[in-house]
Amino acid sequence: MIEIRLHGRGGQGAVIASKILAVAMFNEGKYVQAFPKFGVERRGAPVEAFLRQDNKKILIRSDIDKPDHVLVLDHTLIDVVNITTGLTKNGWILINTDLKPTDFDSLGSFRVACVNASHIAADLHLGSRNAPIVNTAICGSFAKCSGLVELASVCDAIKEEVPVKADENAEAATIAFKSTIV
Amino acid sequence: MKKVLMGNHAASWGAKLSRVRMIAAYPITPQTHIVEELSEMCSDGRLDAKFLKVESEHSAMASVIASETTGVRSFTASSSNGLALMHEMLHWAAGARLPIVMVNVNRALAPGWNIWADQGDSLAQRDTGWIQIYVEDNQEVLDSVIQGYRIAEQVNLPVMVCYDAFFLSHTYEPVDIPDQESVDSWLPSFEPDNFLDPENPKAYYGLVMPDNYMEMRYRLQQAHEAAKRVVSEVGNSFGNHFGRPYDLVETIHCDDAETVLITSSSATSPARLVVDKLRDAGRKIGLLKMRVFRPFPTEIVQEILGNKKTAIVIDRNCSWGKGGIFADEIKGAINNLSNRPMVYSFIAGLGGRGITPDLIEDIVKQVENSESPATSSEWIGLKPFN
Amino acid sequence: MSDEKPITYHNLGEMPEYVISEASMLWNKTGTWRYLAPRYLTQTPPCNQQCPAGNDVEGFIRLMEKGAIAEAAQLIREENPFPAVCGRVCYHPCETGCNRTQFDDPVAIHSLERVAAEQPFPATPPETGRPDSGKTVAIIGSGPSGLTAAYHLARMGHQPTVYEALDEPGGLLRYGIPAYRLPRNILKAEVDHITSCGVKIICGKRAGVDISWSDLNKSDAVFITVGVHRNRRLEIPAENTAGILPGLGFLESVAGGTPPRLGQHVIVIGGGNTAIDSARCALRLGSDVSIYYHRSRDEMPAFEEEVNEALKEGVKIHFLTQPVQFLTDNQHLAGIQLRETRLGSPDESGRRRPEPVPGSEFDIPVNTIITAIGETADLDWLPPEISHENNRITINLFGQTSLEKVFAGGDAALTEHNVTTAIGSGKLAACAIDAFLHNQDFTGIMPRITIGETGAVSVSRYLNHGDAHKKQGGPGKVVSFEDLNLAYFRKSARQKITTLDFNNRSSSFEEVNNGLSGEVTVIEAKRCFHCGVCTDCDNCYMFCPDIAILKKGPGEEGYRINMDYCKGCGICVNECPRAAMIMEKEQ
Repeated sequence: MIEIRLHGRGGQGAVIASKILAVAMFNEGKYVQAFPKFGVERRGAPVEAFLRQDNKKILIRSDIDKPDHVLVLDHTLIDVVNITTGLTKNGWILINTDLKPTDFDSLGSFRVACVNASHIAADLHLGSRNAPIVNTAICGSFAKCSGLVELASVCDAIKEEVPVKADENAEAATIAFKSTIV
Repeated sequence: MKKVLMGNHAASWGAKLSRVRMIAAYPITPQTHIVEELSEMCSDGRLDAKFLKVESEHSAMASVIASETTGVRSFTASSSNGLALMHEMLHWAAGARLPIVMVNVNRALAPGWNIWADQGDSLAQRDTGWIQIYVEDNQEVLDSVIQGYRIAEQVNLPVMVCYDAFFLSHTYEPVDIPDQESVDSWLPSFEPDNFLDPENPKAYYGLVMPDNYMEMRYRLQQAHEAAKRVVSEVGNSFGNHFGRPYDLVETIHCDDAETVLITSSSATSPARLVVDKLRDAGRKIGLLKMRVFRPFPTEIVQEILGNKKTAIVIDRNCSWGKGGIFADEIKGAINNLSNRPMVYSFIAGLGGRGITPDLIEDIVKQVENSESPATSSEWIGLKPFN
Repeated sequence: MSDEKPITYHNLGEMPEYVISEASMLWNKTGTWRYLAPRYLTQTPPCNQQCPAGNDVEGFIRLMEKGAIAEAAQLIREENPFPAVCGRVCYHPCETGCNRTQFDDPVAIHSLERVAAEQPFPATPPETGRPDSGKTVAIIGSGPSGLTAAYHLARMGHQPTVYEALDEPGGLLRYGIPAYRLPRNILKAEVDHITSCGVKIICGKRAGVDISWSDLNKSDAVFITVGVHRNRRLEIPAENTAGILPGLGFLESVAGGTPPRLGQHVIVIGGGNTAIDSARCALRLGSDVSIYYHRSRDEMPAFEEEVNEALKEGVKIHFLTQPVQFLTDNQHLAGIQLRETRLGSPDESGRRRPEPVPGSEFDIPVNTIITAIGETADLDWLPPEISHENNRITINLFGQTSLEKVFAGGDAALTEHNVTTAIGSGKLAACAIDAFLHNQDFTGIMPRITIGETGAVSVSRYLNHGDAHKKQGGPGKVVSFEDLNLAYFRKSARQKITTLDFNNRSSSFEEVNNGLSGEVTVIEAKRCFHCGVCTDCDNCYMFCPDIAILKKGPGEEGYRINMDYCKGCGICVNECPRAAMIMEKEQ
């Protein structure tokens, strides 16, 4: 079983990202489980979402404390939340940032991937100018760094699950896939 | 068609596939998605039903009581304080013998405000006369709503399908959604013998004097007794038709077990992992999933636990001043058996705290290391006292 | 009959699975338990009772509320041939009586009647079912009383002939009420309608001058409604000087199109309607007008609305002032001497008597003075067998004079002088004459046709034709405000009428008041409480806890009470918004 934790801010689409990845993995024949960490939420506040993937039915029904990978939809969260809590050694940390992986060496002995998802989303007019919705780009980027799901599956899942600008969102995933720095 | 669905939308699909014709509901976290989805289904024509907006849960239940009385298959959903507000009407629905199906998303009651999983809301309604089904995963949510109507309409009792807040309600996982034709061929349309009809005027729900009241109530109890058989039959028939059988309870490795772990709702899933793991380690342990709480499957519980050494009940609920409710009911059910297990009662996971495989394993270890159960339920996972 | 027995269950298997009725409760009859029983009873609405003309006010509003305006007009004409006239000049005591007055504002009944009268005239008057009697009735005077009696007598199958001394029919309506209150075409249309109903009017025939009493007396019955045309004199010095005009004579000359020349300033003496009408006419002829009245505003007999309009138009009214003498200069009127008065103890009319204030005399120079302190009838021509007193023909309760076949009404026989009262006396006379012509005892009939407690009668009820139960309720109780269940009424504003701009009044006899507009008519009609009259509102039907009140069959109005199940609880009567039900001891 692979467990993934997503860190984002309310409104960025972390919960939907977890669902998009779940659907993509499910369509590839995996068992999946995606759910938000339920809390008192407001736009901009730190939020978490969880994703499990397995080859058999998933029977754990509690939060992910020891993720294999972590997705960070806003690099400034690193100052606020301990994003590496419980993270498996050598697990991927995928960060939405305009910095490079080497800029995050201080996080510890993990693999760091970087993608400028905000820039990609803004270019494609996803969300509003001041608050681009970065979740679809992050999904594409995760396909690249983790290799746990195909980009094509992610794009299909986006078209299935995202009600508006499905093509632009799929394009964001594709651009992110290509521009991810590992 | 398999889809990744959240538990709440599985409930909506269950209602839609049952072709409910009237929905009255008031939103409450974590139930809101259910009725949002249904209202969209009504507005875009996928579901031919009247969606009635009401000003409270009491009115929601009163409205489905009214529509069901007119012979219309009706649905509602609530949670926590909302369900508590329905209380009076819940008695009414059962006393009127109306086959309403409702979903209750198990959520803790305030204060302190808590929107997370806890079975206290629906268990507080155990004496209202409703059939209560506690389900484990999203597939079972959908399947139980559909079965609910077939059970309810056979025994003229309302059915409450209960599942844990967030652990199911907001969790996406694969669900097999049956075809409408397939459901139609299994679930007959609702054609009650009596319904409120201007062409055939009758008085409903009137005064029943002492000379008849007890008999009316005896009939209610008899209906629950009959419902045990009907739940099994319907679950079996559902299995034959859809490939997923259900029953009052589910047992795993119980036949030769010395210790039986007893769970309900979503806590059953991690318990399966623990039982498998301990079996692999050579321990004689089994798992009893209590799916139906009302009517209480006394005979089956007696049969399963009759010659066991130990029963461990995990309750995500507490009857204040007594303890875990499932544990208490199980003790009551086996009390007159000559051979009966020691019953250990644990309270865990209240207000949305996770019940993890590790926690369940800790419980089993604690039982293995003790001579006899404590007189009251033990609380697991509490912060240390000092 | 099996439905009418209670069910007793002896074993579980017989019982229904849920709480549902398996039989009716029809067996559970009231027995002798009830002491009082409800009954539907149409009672008298206060508006109907207050109308001196005996109009079915509530009835015509009920029709107008449904938009049945033509039917409303026809209903009025069952009682009164003058809806257009009354809709303008009546002082509407109905509105004073309206129970809505104590709630918010009275229903604008007066304006509604006028709207009803705007409907085209029907081809025939309301049906009476009476054949021709071959009897003739001579009616002396074509004022409202005479013409009303003629109209109803014609409807009753008789042949009335009206003799009018002046050139045109209408009496006071034509010659006393100025055109700005009652346009001539409106009056003419209603008079023409009356003649079209079988009434013959002969103008220019003054009784006792152009036609003798013995000729009049050849008819089977006579109705004397000569009105009051003789100006009462002030009996002060120099009253015969030129330039002093009698009020009614002045109004007649204005109505006849030959107004006298007036001075720039005109003084009117008096406080009644003739005084006000004279003042407003003089104003329209271009003069400044001052009224001098010897009592205060409270004692003024003129209609309050007319006084208000006169004041608004610029007429000045001086109270507590009485004439002492007219002042002359070389045989010409030069002015008037007046003095102040103060009010003393009440006189026989109940009003406080004016007493002169010594030494308060003052003179006003003026060359036109109109005196309008009252009018009396000219009865000198009557045969001695017809007795009269104080210039009033003596009549009994139903208008009969000292001669059996001779009846009298209108201003010449009544103390109260106004159009609506005159119409009422014409109706009473028509009924009494009809009874006389059929040799019936009218004293036995009168209570049955009296509306409420005032004495106005209903011709519909007298004729007892058609849908009689809905006609003006029964004699007896008038519904008071306290009788109503106000929980069922909401406050709503009275619709207002518009009036002629003041700039257009001083030079024109154009009508001052406009009627209600079409769309607000129904809104206004719906304000009616329908005191004492069932409107099929279903309250009794819905509230009866024993389902003992049942609707009548399709097409029928109203309800019936199934006394097998009525417990006499009185909820229906209590919840009736409009007192159209009563509780009474069972028969």
